[in-house]
Amino acid sequence: MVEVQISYFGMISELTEKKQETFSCENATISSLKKSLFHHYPKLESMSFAFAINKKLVQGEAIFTSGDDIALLPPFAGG
Amino acid sequence: MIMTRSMETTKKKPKKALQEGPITPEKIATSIAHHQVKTNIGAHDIFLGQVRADQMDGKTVTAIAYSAYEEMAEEAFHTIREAAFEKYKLTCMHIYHSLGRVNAGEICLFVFTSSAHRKECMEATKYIVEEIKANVPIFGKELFEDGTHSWKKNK
Repeated sequence: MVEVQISYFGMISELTEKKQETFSCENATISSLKKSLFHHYPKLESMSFAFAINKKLVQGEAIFTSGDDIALLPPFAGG
Repeated sequence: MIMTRSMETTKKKPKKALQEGPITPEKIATSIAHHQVKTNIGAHDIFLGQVRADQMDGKTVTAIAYSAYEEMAEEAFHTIREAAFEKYKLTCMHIYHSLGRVNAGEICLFVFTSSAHRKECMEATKYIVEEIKANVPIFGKELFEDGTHSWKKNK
């Protein structure tokens, strides 16, 4: 198991009812983390969001290490 | 010479783009006034984003509450600035975006570019605004008059 710190923003933090938490998942990959998140927050599956590792947007195959900053970002609305 | 120096200053000391509350017309006016000493400028272009009182399911948006992944957003603004300086021959550039509550009719985005001639700053502004909409992690909660809300999504 890998432990990571996750930050939630916008409508995602509304769903999780928190801005940050420590999360455990089987592998240090975004796809594995996604699976654990969906298990924990079933409604997340129907929402659209992106992952960022250390402030950079990443895709499903991306890997991380403990201590990385992971964020779940809902659709952008700036401007 | 003056142009190079001002470009370097902007690059080395990126100011924070995110600021609390609406962008006031006074701030915009002051910003224009500050450029009167830069006489190598021949053209300014300004984009102002204003909060719309959209109608949704019979309800009216009264304000947008903006939030952001602030560290990532400032980095994204920095990347956009650098790219715009690279692409266009600009004398200077300023970007401000609101955080927190901005009422319908108030300004939430201020992009201000300056160059020797009109074409460069006009193209740069368009580029910068599109990049902000697509790449800066800012989130908008549309607040309705009845206390409910929905989340804004850029098209």
